Amino acid sequence: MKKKISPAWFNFFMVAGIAILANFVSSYFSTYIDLTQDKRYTLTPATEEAVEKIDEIIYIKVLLEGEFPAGFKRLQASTREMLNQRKAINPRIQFEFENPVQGTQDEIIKTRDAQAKDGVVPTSLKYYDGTQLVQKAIYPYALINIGTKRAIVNLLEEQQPGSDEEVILNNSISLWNTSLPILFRRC
Amino acid sequence: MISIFWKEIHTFFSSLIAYMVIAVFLVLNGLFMWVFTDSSVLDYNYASMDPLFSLAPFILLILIPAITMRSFAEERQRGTIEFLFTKPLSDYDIIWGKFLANFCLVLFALLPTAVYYYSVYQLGSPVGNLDSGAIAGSYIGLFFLSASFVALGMLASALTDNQIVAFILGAFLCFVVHWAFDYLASLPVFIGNADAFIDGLGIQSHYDAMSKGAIDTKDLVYFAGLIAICITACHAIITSKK
Repeated sequence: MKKKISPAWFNFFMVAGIAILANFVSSYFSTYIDLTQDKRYTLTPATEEAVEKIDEIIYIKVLLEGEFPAGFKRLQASTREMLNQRKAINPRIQFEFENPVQGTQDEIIKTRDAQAKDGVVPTSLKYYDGTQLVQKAIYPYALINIGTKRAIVNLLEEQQPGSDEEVILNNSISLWNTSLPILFRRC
Repeated sequence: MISIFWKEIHTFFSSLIAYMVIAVFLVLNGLFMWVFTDSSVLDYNYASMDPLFSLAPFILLILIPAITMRSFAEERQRGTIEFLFTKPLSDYDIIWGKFLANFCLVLFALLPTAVYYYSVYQLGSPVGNLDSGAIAGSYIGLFFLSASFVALGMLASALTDNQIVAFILGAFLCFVVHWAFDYLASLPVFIGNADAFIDGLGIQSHYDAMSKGAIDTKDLVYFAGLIAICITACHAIITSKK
């Protein structure tokens, strides 16, 4: 008996083909609706242009990795999100997250001293983790390398004395969107 | 299609299945969202529903294959599938009817989480200080994720006559399509060249993009394509097994 492809399978391959094609096409021509209240995901044309114009590889190392309280986790997530968004426009933007407080006590001290020379000074953070009060050094910094040029960015907004930590964090997160294009220009 | 839909819905609600699914989904979500300190919104200091949306895929990974495993496997095991196909219904009527019924049951489980929205809304300081637009986006993402899981689960159910096999296979398929591509993309071999492409093959990257509140046409096309592929594959398998 000669085996013939059944109409159902033919149908399946057709649909699969169309679906793959549609995905391919839509990755080039896509629009989106930004439902968030502050239009976080809508890049201004100026930002988009600034990111597109980058023709050198930008390497960004974010020192925000490890166990944090929720507020810093959100800062980390929004930083990653923001960088991913820009990377999608221009693949020359490369980034990684690194935990600077890792390894043995000696190693931690060594990296801390090395970073202090560059002006990367940790913020001391005290928080209650459910059973005890924990004190932790946290590095809310991004180190940016473009060719031989280097820039260090503090991800936290300048602290006003007496302002609430949550407020600082929330402000910092919304600040990210506006601060990065400026930063790229500065480099 | 409608008649199959009602028949299936009727089976769900006249047996324990529907009530079990809804109860288990809500109990697990409720515990993680409000009770366990690691993921509780109350300790989060920020009015959001993120814990629900990051957790729901894990719970649905188990629950949806449990709903869909009976779709075809049970009919075949009992021999009722022949009756179904002798009815004056097209194969697609049967498949889409079952798909919609399974999906509807998941929606019934998701519906009560609107109460969480109201609670978080009231707990915000000041009241109502949360991003409703982003939450709407997350819900849309969750609907598409559920629909994809249902389609994958039904595909698994069409492949076998054994419900347990259908369940395990369904959960495995959902896991692979949702998570595996993300892990694969993070392998050193692919970083910098194919990672974005591989990541885009999985559900996770599309779900995450939607959860943030930006509804992109390419994510919608991805989900529509995935569901269409699963349903036609399901149809092809059923007709070739007839």
